[in-house]
Amino acid sequence: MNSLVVSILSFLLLYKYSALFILSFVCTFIIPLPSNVIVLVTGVFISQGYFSFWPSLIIASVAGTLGDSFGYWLAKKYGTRIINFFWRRRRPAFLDRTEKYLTRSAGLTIVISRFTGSLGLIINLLAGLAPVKFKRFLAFDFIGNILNVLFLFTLGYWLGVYWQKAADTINDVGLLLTAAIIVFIIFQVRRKRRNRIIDKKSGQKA
Amino acid sequence: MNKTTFKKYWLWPLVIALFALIVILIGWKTLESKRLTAWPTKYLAAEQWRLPQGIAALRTRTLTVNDLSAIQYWMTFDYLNKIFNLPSDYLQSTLNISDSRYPFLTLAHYSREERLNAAILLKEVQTAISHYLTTPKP
Repeated sequence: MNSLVVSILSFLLLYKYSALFILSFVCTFIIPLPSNVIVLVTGVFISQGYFSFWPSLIIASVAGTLGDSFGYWLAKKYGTRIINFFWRRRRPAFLDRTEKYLTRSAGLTIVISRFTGSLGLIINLLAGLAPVKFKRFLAFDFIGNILNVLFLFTLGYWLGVYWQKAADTINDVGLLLTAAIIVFIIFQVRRKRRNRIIDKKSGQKA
Repeated sequence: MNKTTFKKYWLWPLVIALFALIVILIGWKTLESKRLTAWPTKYLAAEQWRLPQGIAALRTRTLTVNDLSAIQYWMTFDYLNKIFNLPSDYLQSTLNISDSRYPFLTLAHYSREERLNAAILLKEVQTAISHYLTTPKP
């Protein structure tokens, strides 16, 4: 376990529900802290009777939703200005694509992204930039947070004191997945570039 | 909230949440009835195969003398008292802890403040808890 996780766990044990609220809130909007590990460990503490189930469920879900909403609000208020600052000449194409995608299937994307840790943070910001209404965002975000917290509590409850072994395994799987996604993106970019060159050459010949 | 807003934004998420809750509850009850709720522990912790009583400890949620290796530096004395079901002043008197913040104090913090070797403190805590758990109670 790294020192950051160790400090977080000590903080959680010392300040219990206030710490759970603060950590669940902060994890969701700016700092990519290991939010899933925090909720999983809370599930372990519930199994040992150190935390109570209902207060933990309510606090973790509400704090998570508040944090997500804050991220959404930040993107809504300052997102356009930041984009204009970085891309003065032309609006980036990826934003149009994301906007189109989120308009089509915002609900499912928001709910699923709650299970992925730091990807949720990016989706909050993108939802703030895209025309996703706040009420819609809030509804799906709250449902996603409750489901995620319930899932991790159940996992933590099952694992008990052996959660550290599972956390290591989850970390390893996460690292492998991230590496696989990066390799996939690199291959996709290379393929697109190659196709563009081929198209250009065939256009010149014609 | 009018009817259209409810239908548009809240109806489906609520239906999905309700459905998920029912699935989780039924699934949990089924697993409980078939005594399968400890299966991830079996696969993820190989020593569980050698320590079947460890599973029993998890099921009753109070840790036993077999779980002493689970004690870590980041744990507080309050947490150890709770999970091993110790009297609140047992570790304080056994380890002669005079810090006023006891039991809301982590082992790491205490060893740093008292300039103790953390590994030795951990061993002492394990020995004290083991002694308490193995001593027959009146």
